[in-house]
Amino acid sequence: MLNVEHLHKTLSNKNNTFRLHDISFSLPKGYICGLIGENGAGKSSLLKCLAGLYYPDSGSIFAGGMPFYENEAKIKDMTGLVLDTDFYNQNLPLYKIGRLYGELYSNFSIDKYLRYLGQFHLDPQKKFKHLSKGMKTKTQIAFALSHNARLFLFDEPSAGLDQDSREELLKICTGLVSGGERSVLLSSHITQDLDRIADYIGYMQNGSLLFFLPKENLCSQFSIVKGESYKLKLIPKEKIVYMEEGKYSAAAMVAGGKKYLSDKTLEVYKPGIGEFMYYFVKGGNENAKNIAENFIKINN
Amino acid sequence: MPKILQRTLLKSIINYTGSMFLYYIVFAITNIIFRSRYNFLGDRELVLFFFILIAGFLNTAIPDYIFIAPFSRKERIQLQKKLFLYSHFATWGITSAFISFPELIMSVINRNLYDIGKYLFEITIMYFLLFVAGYSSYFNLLNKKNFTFTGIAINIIVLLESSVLAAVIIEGSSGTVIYITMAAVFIIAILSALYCYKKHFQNMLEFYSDYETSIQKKA
Repeated sequence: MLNVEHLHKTLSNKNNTFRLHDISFSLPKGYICGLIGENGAGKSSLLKCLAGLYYPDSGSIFAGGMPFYENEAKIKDMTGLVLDTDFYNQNLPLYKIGRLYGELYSNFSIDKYLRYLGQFHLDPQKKFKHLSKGMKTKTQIAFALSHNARLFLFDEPSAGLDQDSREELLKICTGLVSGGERSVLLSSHITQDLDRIADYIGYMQNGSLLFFLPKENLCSQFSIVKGESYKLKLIPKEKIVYMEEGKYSAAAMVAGGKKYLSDKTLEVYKPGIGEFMYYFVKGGNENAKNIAENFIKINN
Repeated sequence: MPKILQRTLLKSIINYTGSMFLYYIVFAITNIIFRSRYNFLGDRELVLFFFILIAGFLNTAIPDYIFIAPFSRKERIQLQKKLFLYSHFATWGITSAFISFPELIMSVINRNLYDIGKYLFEITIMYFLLFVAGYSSYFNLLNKKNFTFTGIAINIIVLLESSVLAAVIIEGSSGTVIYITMAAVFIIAILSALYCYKKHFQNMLEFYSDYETSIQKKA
């Protein structure tokens, strides 16, 4: 559904320059991919490139089998977007947002849009500017779901949403891909959500995509080890993503197989996405890069 | 033209007309108070000068949503072109209707050929000056220095033309002086419009049609 090949993009403003560097990945139809990484890692910038807001300096993007820039209008017509920037006119009531912006899409259904607004408990008469951040996100989600999109790009969709709405969003996401024809790429800091719904995980750091692979494949390549500090120190340093030491015990995330972890007194288990990200970030950028290059087997 | 763009155009026209009326009321009041002391410029031209300035502040950029809507880059440029030209045409029509049309109609009724020529000339000049003024916000976003330089240049041209016209036409001069002045003003107005069109028109369309340049500069 979405293929990105060697994408490079330099973004600069008065104060700094940021680079998206050599990003390649492929998201098949019918899957959800979670994009994770620290703040400023480049997740939003990448999503903006994929949404056609930034033009890459080099590299290519294919969506639905079509090259992006030759088929920009067609691809945008089949893409549902939730971005961190408000693109709607702030003074418009929600029903009018559907009417005005919906006519730009070939398959927009105003009934569907109003139904989603109802499902999210949003008043169609309320002006966009009077909504909270979470409600604005819900409006974007309702709109994205109403024009029969096949590819969904969600940038932090759960930020600002209450627990119920987050649950609803997760249900919607899994429902979207259940037919096997649609794909969702979403960035999120709420890793528990990704643990539940993501099929693929992409990890971004300093504008580079360190890896992009199936979640199960990723998590099975690491172990969280807890036990006495001196025992954990016997594990080769280059295999340790990060070790957190207490007074008597320690916890570490370790890359590679389990041959170093034969000691039965150590507690060993597979990390979730939240733990994985925690240890990866704590280990520092250089260490994360080395681990990704030397130990993560890309085996989609 | 999509409805969302029609709305932007309508909003821009409403803002312009509203500002015109507001300015006209302020002008009328101050004119009554200070008329005896300041009469260095003809009233009509002073009004015209400020109307052109107001037109320079109008937003003629495509709405943000167009960047994520299903349009290609080429289509966005076309939409931007339409918006700019329609907006220019609308401001020209409104300004002409407000300032010159009533007098032009009176001149036609009175069959005063000199006045007919004068008002037709004013309408033509206004077309070019408003076209040049339409670039103000673009220059501002593009480069502050450029804006200052071009903005001042545009204002000087408009002010000079207005005052020269006022001095020559309103205050009365010999026929030859009037025709030479009118010709000079006409040539300068056309040259400034041509300069903007040749050098900046396409760049401006591309600038406003590109998210990265336009939105980031606005921010």
